[in-house]
Amino acid sequence: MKKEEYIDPLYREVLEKVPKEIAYEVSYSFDIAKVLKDVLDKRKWSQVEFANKLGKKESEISKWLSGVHPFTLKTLAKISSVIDEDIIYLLAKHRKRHRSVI
Amino acid sequence: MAKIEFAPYLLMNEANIYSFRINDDKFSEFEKFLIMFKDVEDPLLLDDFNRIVLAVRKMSENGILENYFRYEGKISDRVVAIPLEVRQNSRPRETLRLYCLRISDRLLIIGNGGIKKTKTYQENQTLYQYVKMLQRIDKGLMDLEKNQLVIEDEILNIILDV
Repeated sequence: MKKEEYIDPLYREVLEKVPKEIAYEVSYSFDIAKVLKDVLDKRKWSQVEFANKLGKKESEISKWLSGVHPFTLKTLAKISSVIDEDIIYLLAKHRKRHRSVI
Repeated sequence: MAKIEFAPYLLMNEANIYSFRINDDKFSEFEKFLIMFKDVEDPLLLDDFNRIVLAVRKMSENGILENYFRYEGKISDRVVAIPLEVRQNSRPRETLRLYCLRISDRLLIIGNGGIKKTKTYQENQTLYQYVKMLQRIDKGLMDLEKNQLVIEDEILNIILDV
């Protein structure tokens, strides 16, 4: 059993039946949350600090980092402007590095 | 007392995800959840189910990050629920919940779950039992950790009586 490749057969069967539209939506949300978390950690920014820079409440940042938030282009643009990096580029880089299956 | 044995579901570079069997059951608790809801007819619950299935997959890629979960048990335990909030606005009183133990950024143990219609899991006897079982398992694992056992390395060799 090669560690990196093991997926339980029943789980794989169920996973493959998830509609692609939902799969991409969830996948993007989780990956953006991960990328954002990495940015905050790297810059040693707390959620409160990040929220203040964006003019948002901390509770909203918590939702973004939960992996289930449906980000709009407007929000992504706002995030890019505050972190002064292209969040779409960071997302693409993350997905390539992790060879995201969906 | 219940005999608990662990079974792997997703073993990836960033994280490992397991479930467990109770008293030599044919199915693990996560299998029971998958079988129970994979063909659910309610389109909203099926949507929740699909999102939970995907969430588990993404955690195996990105790590079992604390921010992905809502803590559901007591302050002293590691019981969490997936997802944090799905469809909070459109259907606040009825969502699908899957309960787990978040041991670390690299290890998640998935239990069972169900439809949460009440404000708290304590108001639903079935969900309450799932959470209680995870709390008992967590306590058993914490006792082993106190004896310097690394759960992540030894999980397939662990048999708990809880």
